[in-house]
Formats: sequence, structure tokens, C-alpha cells
Amino acid sequence: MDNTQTWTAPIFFDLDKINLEKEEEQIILDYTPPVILPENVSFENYEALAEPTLEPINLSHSVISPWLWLTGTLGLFLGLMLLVNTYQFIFQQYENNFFVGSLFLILIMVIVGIISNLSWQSYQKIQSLRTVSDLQKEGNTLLTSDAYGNTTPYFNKIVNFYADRPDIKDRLELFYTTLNDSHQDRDVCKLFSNIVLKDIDKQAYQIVNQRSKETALMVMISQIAILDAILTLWRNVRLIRDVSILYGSKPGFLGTIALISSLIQNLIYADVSEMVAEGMAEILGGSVLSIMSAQVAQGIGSGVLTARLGLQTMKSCRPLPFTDKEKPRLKKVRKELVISLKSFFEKKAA
Amino acid sequence: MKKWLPRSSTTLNERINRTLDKQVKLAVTGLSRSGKTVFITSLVHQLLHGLQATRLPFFKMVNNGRLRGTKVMPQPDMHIPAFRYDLAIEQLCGEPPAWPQPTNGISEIRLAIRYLSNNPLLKHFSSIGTLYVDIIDYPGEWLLDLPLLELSYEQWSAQITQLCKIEPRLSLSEEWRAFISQVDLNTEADSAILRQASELYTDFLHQCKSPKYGLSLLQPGRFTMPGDDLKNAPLLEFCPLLNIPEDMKDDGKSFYSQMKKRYESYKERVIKPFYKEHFASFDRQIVLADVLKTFQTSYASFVDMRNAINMVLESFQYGKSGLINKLFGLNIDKILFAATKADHITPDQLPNLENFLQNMLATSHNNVIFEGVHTETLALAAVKCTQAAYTIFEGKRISCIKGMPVVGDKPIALFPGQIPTDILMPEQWVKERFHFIDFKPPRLANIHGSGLPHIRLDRALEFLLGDKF
Repeated sequence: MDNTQTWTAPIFFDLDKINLEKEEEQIILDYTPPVILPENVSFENYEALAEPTLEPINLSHSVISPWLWLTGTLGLFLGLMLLVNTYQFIFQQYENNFFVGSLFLILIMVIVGIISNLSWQSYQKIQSLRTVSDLQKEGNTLLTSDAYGNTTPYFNKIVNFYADRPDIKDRLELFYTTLNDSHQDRDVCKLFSNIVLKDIDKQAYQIVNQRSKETALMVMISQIAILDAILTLWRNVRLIRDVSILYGSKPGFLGTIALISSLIQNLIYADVSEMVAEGMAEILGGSVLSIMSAQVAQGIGSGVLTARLGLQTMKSCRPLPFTDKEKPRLKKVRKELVISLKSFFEKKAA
Repeated sequence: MKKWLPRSSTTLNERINRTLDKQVKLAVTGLSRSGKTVFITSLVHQLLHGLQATRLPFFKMVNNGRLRGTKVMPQPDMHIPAFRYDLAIEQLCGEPPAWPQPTNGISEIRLAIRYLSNNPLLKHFSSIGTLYVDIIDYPGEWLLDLPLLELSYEQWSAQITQLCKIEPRLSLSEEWRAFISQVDLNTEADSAILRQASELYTDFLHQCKSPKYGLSLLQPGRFTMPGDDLKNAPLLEFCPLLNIPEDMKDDGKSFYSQMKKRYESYKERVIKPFYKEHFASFDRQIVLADVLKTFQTSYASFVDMRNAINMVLESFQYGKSGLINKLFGLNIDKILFAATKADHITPDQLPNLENFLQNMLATSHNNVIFEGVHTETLALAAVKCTQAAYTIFEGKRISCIKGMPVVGDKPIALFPGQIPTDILMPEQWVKERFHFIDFKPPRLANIHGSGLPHIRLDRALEFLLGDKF
């Protein structure tokens, strides 16, 4: 065995013989001394917050990234699948009867045309709004810090956002009268969220609820995959548009990506679930009940996905990020959706 | 006709109110001159003006627009003096405005708060509910008596002896100690000597309390804050003894026995009744402490305040599972510790002050939470008498406060110093570090329209009462 020492032996210093370095002996007084200010000094008041100065708005530039490629190819795949599916459907109708086939073809073309047009318009409307991703980042740092007095530029920017919104003016005024110079940054953010954004959140939530219900019903009723897809697309784009307009902003780049991918998911779901429902009907023997239940399940699925998209839109459009407590919950929307669909059927049955 | 009704139908009604969670007893106390009166006055004023005001954004019930008005009601306990809100607010809103007279004993005021009910169950019974808030104000010194209930005379004396070994008590207590050490504990008690000893001890406590030393841990509490009923009562004529020999015999006549007897009767006649009659019925407690004062006074004053507050906290801890609870029962489920006069520092220092208070209470805080009592620490100003601003001073942009000092008629602006977040070493506790100035209450044109300006009083309200609506 090798008995070499692997530890350091304790050493004792004789304090009388060894001089410790000066710094360790002393406790350094590290503080800012109090000052009484001279009388003629000039003040900057916190009231400056109440008079927003207009600033130019930065429009974010779009960047092409692998994500875009992915979404593009996914979209292409989806489109192809739909086309094949539709072709099969129309082909079937033509085999039965030439006129019925033509009628379906024309009808589908008209519907697709109208809805594409409407969706395109919605999309353009969304594009005309401003992005908020930078504001959200700034808001997040304000919400998590213990700091004081840094909110002025931030809220000036947000107020700018809502300068031409009469419905928010009252709330903004209330916000400014409530605010006082003792509020920390975090408090100011919470106040803004409570006083100004809470109402908007509520309205947005209503819209999400409404649109998800609509989507659920439409998907439930329609029998053709392409119609499902196109209706879902329309309601979803419309939903994004409405929520964005409400917040007065469009999602930033990352937000857009998240929304698009979730939109595509919804479309795929609408598409695929329709086929699954068809398959189910075949397996279960095509009784009315089995078709109905498969359709209902499909509708609810689409509705929930739409709601999820809606909540995502809310999250990415809100200039001040949601705190954990304020976040709208998908669970709640789902519950409301199922209840309202249930009551819809009960009414029908009665 | 209604003879079958129990005579105490009012108390029955009271009980029903309580079971439906419609009454809450809010006890307000503070360690010497911490601003209890101003706090209660401002709190009542805020609630009375809650309908028009925009000053309570963090008090959810008011902010959600559920408040339907507040009114001062006749108080339920006729034997407790009334809190004179009318007088206090008159002084505060006078021309020129002045701080209200401090109160010297227990007092009470009852408020009825009408609100739109949010409770999904009770909503169907009555959409508008009424919450009766009884605000009871009592000296914090009385709260410091609670630990005495668990101490024998010898134990208590030993504690005081220990305290008197450290400055500034060492020099302040010199006269009393000199007197008491020359008394033979075994001789038959002479009431004149007893009285003189207790007078010297009381003088010593008063000196400790004076702003120069600013000590808080002063037992027994009634010596410095006798209340109206106990002034000059012989019950208060005793004091602790230094170095009691262990084989001391209690023969009933000696000086020592007399002191012990009086101490016990003080516990029996003064402390216990207070807890039985008042303390046991409190639901919520707020303890105000002027931490800034200790910053400016000395390290000793800070240590003393920390010990005092921790002792208070310990009593609540006893309260939940110990002797006090077995004796009287205790309802308190929420305690708020508030550092007052938060308007005397620049707003960017507020979180520091709160952190400091939290650090100061860390240990007993933990114990109290363990017992299931919710506690919170806040820095607040019941009436905000300064304005925050920025200025350029010697080339640097600094935050400062502006206000009218109590002495003089020119407004003054200052940066009062940085509040440390952690407890300082005694060496770091230097005088030049802080400079706090007392300010006059603000002169406001529309004081009856919009409520008094404050700092974080709404948060205090939310914590203390928020769950009752």
C-alpha cells in the first residue's frame, strides 16, 4: 500500500505573528449615502407616463427558415391528399350519374372559391396589424423583475397601439388615474393587465368559444373531407383575424409559426378524421347512430383543436404576456364546448 | 308573543352571522408609535370612499366593482372605548393637516361592508352580502405580555437580568439595579420599597422606549401602556429581581414573595382577562412596526425589535397548539407584518424593505406557518405624504422623495439612503447611512372624494379581508 497523503493537513495561524491583508480586517461600508437635495434642483415627475409620445412602429421582417420549408411541404402533402380524396368522391358521383356528378363538382368549386377568397381577405387583414413579440419580451422582463421606474417607454408603446380605439380609451384613462408613483414595475404590469387587458381577454375568450363551437358543428354536419378541411381553414383564419383585431396586433414570427403549424394540424385532423369516420361507419355497419356518434366525436375534436388555436392566438397577440393565473384554460373551453353541443342535440331531439 | 325566543337573540344573530362568515374581527397592533391610529383612520377612510375611488386597485373586491358601500356602525362590545375615527380624520384633513392624536389603550370601530356576493352557493340566497368588520386597536406592548403566561417569576427575572447585561439597557437600568441589589430579598416586604422599586423599573422602561433608544421589548406591557383602567393601580407595583438564589423560600411575607405574588396576580388579573375577552376572539391580526426608526436609531434597537416581533410570533405559535389555545382557544388564521412609513423611502427601495422584514422574521415565520397560520410581510404607508421623483444630482440621476417636513414650512427633497435587503453587521450599522425625516400629512383638495393616498394598503386589505367576500 502506498501511504502518500491525499489530504491537506490543517494549518494554524498565530494571529499575532501573521498580518492579515487589510481588506479582510475591515468591513467595507458599501452603501449610497442619504442626500438632502438643494432647493433649486429640477425634478422629472413620474407623470411623464401619462403623456405618451408617439413613436414609429417597427414592422418585423419575415425570414425564410427550415420551418417554413417544413410547413410548406406539409401543406403540399395535405393539399394533394385532399385533391385525391375529392377526385375519388366526384368520380364516384360521376359513375352514378353524370348530372349529379357535375352538380357536386360545381358546388364544391363554388364553395372552395368563396371560402378561399374569404380566408385570403382575413389573412390580408391580419397582415395589416403590428407585431408584438418584442413588446412581449419586454413585458416579461418587467413582470419578473423587482425593479422600479422602467415602465414608461413600454406602456407608451402599448398605448400607442390602442390610440385609435375608443372602446379602450376609458379603460386606459382609468389605468392612468389608478397608477401612482409608488407602484413597482410588476405592479404597473398587473394593473394594466387587470384594468385594460382583462376586458379584451374576456371578449377574445368569447370569440374563441364561439368559433370552436361553429367549427365543431360544421365539421359534424359536413360529410366530405375537403369541405371539412376548407371550413376548418376558414373558421380558423377568421378566428385568428378576430382575436388579432381585438388585441390590435398580429403575432410575431415565432407566434406565426406556432399558429400555422397548429392550423395545419387542425386541417389534417379534419381531413383524416373524416376518413376515419367513414371507415368507422363501414366497420360498424353504417347504422344512423354509429355514423352520428362518429361525426359528433369528429366535430368535438375539431372544435377543441380550434379552441386551442384560439388560445394560442390570444397568447401570441397579447402585448403583455399572460401570468400563470390569468392564462385561459383549454380544459374550460372543452367543457363548455361539450355542454353546448349536448344541449344542441337535446334541443333537436326534443 | 316572542317570549320563547332566547333572551340573547342578538348574540344568536351574531353567531349566525359568524357561521355564514359575515363577521371578522381585525386586530391592529404595533410596537410603540408605529402609526396604528393613522393606519386605522386611513383604512376606514379608504373603505368608506371605496365606491368613488380608484385607489384600491389590488383589493380585488373593490376593483371588480363588487363593493356596494361601507358604513360605520355602532360597535357590538359596549365595554370597549370607541375608536374616534371622526376626530382623527378631522385632524388629518384639517387646515393645516396634522397627524391624529395617538391612542393609549384598546378601542374598537365596526364597519359594515355591503358587497355583491361571488359565492356560487350563497349567490342564490342573497346576491348582496354584508360583512361586518370589527377593527380593534390595542397597544403592541400588551401583546408582549402573552409570553409571560408561560414563564414563572424566576424565569422571567432571569430573562430580564440577561437583557440588562447588554447596552443600552446596561447603563439605562443602572439606577434600578443599584436599588434592587441593596434590598434584602428575605426581609419582610415594605410597601414603600416595593413601590420605589417598581417606579424605578418603570422609569427604566420609559427611558428604553424613548425615541433616543427606541427599544421595543418592554415587559410587562402595562407598565408603559397602562390603559385607562390600570393607571397607578397597586397591581402594577412589582418588578423583576436580579440573581434570585435557587433555594429561595416562598414564605408569603418576604420581599421576594410579595414580588412573586404580584407578578402572578398581574398574570391572573391583567393578562388572562385581556386574552379571554379580546384576544381569543380575533380572526385576523396585523402587526405594524416602524423598521425605519430602528435603522436610524441603532443596532441595539433593531435587535430589540426583532426579538420583540419574534416573541409576538412565538405567542401565536403557542396559541395554535400550546397552553394559550388550551386555555382560551385562538381563532387567528392570518397575520400580517407590516413595515410602516414606506413613503419615507424612495419607491425603488420598497422591495428591499420587504425583503429585510422577511429576513428579520425568518425563523419564527417558519414556525408560525408550520402551525397553519398564514403570514405575510408588507411595506406600506397608510397615508402617503411624499412624492417620488427623479433628479440629476452631481451628474448622477437619482431617485428621491419630496414632502413637507414636520418642522419648517419649506418642502424638502431627499434621498434617504439605501435599505439593505439582508441584516447588517453591527459595524455596518452606521449613523450616516440613513437619514429619515418625518413629514406632515399631505394637503389635499378633494380628500373626501377620493380617499387618502397610500402605499400598498390595498394589498394589506386584500390579504386580511380578501377571502371573506
